[in-house]
Amino acid sequence: MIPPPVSLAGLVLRVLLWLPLCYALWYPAAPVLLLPAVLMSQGALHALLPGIVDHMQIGADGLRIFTTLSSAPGGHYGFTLDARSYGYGMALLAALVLATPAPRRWADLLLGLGLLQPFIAWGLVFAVLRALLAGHAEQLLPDPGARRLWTEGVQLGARLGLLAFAPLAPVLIWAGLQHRTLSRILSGGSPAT
Amino acid sequence: MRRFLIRFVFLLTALFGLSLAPFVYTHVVLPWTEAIAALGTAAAGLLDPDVMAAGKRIISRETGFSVSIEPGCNGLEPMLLLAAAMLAYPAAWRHRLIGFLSGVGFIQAANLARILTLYYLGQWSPLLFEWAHLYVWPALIVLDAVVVFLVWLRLTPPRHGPHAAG
Repeated sequence: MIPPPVSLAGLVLRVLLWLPLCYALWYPAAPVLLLPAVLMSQGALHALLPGIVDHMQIGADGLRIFTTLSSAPGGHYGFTLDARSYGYGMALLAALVLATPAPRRWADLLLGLGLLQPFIAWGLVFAVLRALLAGHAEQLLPDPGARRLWTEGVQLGARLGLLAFAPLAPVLIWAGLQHRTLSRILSGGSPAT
Repeated sequence: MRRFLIRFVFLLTALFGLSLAPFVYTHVVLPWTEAIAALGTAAAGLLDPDVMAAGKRIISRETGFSVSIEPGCNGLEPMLLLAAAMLAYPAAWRHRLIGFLSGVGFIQAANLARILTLYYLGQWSPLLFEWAHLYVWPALIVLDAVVVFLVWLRLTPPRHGPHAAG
């Protein structure tokens, strides 16, 4: 069954109403919702820097990264990242999908959250790489030329992850998943072509 | 619609890649960020005599609290989103230009609201500041760009008939 069409103003209003609820549900659920992205980023880091990142653990207080790099006698370097700052797009995507009167909204939401994971993983991978290079660049990359190249590449990747993928990927995924309903709303409610 | 999405993703990637190029970043993005910071500090100074501006920082004379306007707080990403979407849609250049300039106005108005609310929220509650800064405002600014685009789409006649983008 196709839900009744809404106007553009109605759609915006519905998004704004869904958004606070989605944020309220997303924040406590983030450690679970971000788990696939964390696993993907852990796999990517193992492939990029074999033997450096020991494991990653997501919890309510953030993403903890345990490395094999030495920081103090007998100790290993570890740090915590705010993984939620790469994953708030889940709340935005949920608000957009649920506010759009499309058939199979919940299925679209599940699919959308799945499609978002690689974009979040990208942000996490580069955030970890940036943190590692900030403190242990010489240990990781003894060659100065390679170090400079890696540092610049990681800065670009980190900027792309935080500034582009985090806010824009949810919008792209929403537009891709619900384009028929969006076309219907934009054409003033006439059937989608 | 599929053709529009492909063109849009291609243009967005190209524009974002261009904005990250070292030359563009140094000569366009950083000066743009400084201009937005100057606008933010001027607006805050007009509203509140307690506000002091120092470069790209807005500082409270009373509490010493300050916010710094950095790349990422300049509204550039939603502007690129808007530009890519408007270029991908088959509209007349005049409509694109009018739409983009109006969109920049709306995006920067929201961005100014972001800067000012963060300045005051930060003095009131660090927790709310973090929430608004990291999770809520980035989403709202992008949403602003999406709404601007959808309204523009509704008002703009397509160049090649009603189903050209489909």
